[in-house]
Amino acid sequence: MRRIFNHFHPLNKLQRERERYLSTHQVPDNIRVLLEAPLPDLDDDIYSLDYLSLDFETSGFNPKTDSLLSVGYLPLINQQLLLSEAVETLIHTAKNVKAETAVINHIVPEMLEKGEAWNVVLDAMLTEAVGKVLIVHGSIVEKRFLNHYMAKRYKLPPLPLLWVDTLQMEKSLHIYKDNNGTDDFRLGSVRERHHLPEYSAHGALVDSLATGELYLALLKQHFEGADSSVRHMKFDYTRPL
Amino acid sequence: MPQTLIPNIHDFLATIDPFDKLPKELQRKIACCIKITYLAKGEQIQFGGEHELRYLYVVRTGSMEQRKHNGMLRAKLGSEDLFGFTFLSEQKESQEDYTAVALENTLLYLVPHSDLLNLLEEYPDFAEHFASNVQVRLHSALDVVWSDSEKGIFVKKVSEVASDKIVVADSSTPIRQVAEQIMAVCSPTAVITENGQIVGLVTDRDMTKRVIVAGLDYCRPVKEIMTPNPLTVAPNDLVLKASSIMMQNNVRSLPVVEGNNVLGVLTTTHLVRNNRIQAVFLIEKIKYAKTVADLSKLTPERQAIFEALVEGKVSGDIIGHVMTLIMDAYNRRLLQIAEEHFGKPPCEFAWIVAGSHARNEVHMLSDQDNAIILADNATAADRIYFQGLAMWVCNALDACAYPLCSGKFMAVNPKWCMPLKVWKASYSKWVANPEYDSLLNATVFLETRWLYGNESFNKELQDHLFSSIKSSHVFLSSMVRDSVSVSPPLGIFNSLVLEKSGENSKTLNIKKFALSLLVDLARIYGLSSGSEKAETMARFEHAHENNLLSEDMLKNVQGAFQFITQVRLSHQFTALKEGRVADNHIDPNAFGSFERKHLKDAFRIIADLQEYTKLKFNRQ
Repeated sequence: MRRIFNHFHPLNKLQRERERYLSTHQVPDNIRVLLEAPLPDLDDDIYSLDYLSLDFETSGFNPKTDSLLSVGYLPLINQQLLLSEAVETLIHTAKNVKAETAVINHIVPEMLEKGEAWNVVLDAMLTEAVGKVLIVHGSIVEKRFLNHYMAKRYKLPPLPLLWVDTLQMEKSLHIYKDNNGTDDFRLGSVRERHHLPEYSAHGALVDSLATGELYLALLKQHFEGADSSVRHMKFDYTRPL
Repeated sequence: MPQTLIPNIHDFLATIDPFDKLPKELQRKIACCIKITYLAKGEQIQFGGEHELRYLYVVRTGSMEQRKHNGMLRAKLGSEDLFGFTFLSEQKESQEDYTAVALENTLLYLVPHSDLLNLLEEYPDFAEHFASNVQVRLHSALDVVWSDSEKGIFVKKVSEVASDKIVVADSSTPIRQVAEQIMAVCSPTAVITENGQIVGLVTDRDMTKRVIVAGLDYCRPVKEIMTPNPLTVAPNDLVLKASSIMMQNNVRSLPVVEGNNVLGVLTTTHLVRNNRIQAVFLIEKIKYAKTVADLSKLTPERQAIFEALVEGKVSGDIIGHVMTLIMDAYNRRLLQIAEEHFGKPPCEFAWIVAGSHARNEVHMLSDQDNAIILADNATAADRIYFQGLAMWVCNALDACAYPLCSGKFMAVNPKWCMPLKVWKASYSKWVANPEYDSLLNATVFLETRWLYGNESFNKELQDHLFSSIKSSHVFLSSMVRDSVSVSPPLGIFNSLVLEKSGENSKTLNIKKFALSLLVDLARIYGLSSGSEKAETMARFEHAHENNLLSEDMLKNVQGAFQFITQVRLSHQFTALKEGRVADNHIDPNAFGSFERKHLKDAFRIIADLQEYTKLKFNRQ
């Protein structure tokens, strides 16, 4: 199947980046499979893509000093979030978890003792991510921790993955609508604006589900009655600092 | 599914019907196979080509509507509503096809059909809650209401109350020997059999009345004094049903029989001992009341009985029947007292009741609908007598909390106190000119029941009505036109629709928009099939026996009628309990998802029946 590439489309750039990554680095098999999986075609329907909605719970923003506490994700296939495939795992960590983070995500150190090693958890997630677009709400934390993981475990630079960020999508909707500029883009608040139900508990999986639902709502609003081919989708290509 | 999703998905499912009837473990397993999707406003669900997976859909937020392929609205659905049952059926019929469209942005939970089937195989007891067939679903709803509720005092089974002491004797046994057995067993009753078949009944009173007083030889076979073809009850019948049989037939004991096995006997003594049946006592008290003041003091007792019946989740038709028996007793007693006041009637007459009273469907809101049929030879002076009598009785009924009829369909109105020939002429005129005449205001008189006086007058009038209808081609179709002009509220639970529908839109008038529609349809079927019974269900059954209504349709309608009746009665009950005046206006927000779902099923059945009736009677 020959794609009609627009050479300057960011997706095309991402594809070249992936090829360069594979040719310049020693890459283990699981990462090779991930990067060799074809990216969406520009003429594909955005609704027909496979997604993985994911969320990391961490003790802070800095992977060097803070810990990854849990990872939650579930696939979004054919516009359906599949609860039967949902995964949430706590991560065993050596670092001391700050007490105040436990208040937010209800993860206390005792729970983490039963958690799994981060390489097991994140490799499983990367396997699940093969051929899928990653959905997050505010991608900075997930990207930073994933980059940190690649560097620590594989001595590799950040992975050229394809992301969508519901926080950015919501922001741009607000700009287009010339809205009376809200600055509350927290997941719960955005969902409320889109009349999605309030999910009481916090956690990596609940948030990834909440994000997946929000993504569908945003997509439908964004492409309402318009051409929903991948060419017109604004993916998230930003690099975290 | 990991633990953290449980509070959000599982708890939601656990609150809505029918998932709330399932064990926690099964709820969790179902939650685990859910798929979640989101529909933008206007988006349509693509239902099944052969290869499409089928689902049970649960609306999480938003609203949807279902339409049939001919564009007719099937249902409106809001948060917590389920749909897709029809698609769970293996043999789905094309006429049941519908489309579902999102009216707002809607978050939907999808339970895959195949997963659900597998799970229900593990838990077969719960399969009925997910039946694709609306009858089974409504039936299981009624079951749940009854079995889950605390057993009310009226719903004990006959077997729990009856005595197992009973004499069974062959019909050739000498009277004396049966009397000895009755004494030995301490049973007031003997069941008489012939070749193992129950053929009669003898009570100790019969011994006194038919043997001693009549001076009969004790050696004669008992056959000669038995009451043949006795009424019986089954051990699983409700005590209440038994008592209503006793009241209607004025008998004091009923053998408890299963097949041809005599298990025991239920007597009024048992009822007294078990203090179950206040209705029996109330009727006794009414019989012996001397004045209107005495009778009016009994109103609280009547209300207590009504509350106990509803609280006991006794089925609506039994409640209607018991309340009718009580109302009959009041009305009869008042007529007797009136005759004492006004002197003997100067000519023959019949006091008839109409509307819900005639249909044996009395409840706590029922007002009085009655009329007098006079003999054709009634003089002007006679009419003055009956005017006075009717005035007195109607006011007395009002004093006993059977309010005067707002439509003035009462014997006190000279229009409804007429000689038989005038009644007949009026019926002829109505039937011939349904469009022009006040027939539609007088539908209440399309069902009448004799209560007092000369019974044959009412019979003659009924026969005249049936034959007039038979010879008219316009009458039934104009009734149909009128009755389908109001549609059941397929969308009452959708706030958008509620706001649109204008005044009083915040509440559902369950009488106007549901019960009356069925009563009207039943009347059409009853009149066209010549049903002598006027009960709504009896009319539908009669129509079915005469091939006017399919078995399937009949069962659907039965379920719908029972459920709606129950909802209405519960609503009245709640109001009475809270010391308010009972009415027919129900706030849709007061419904749980359980009632909502089943009411929707019921409304849909009414809409279907209306459509079917329209086609059927227009063609004729």
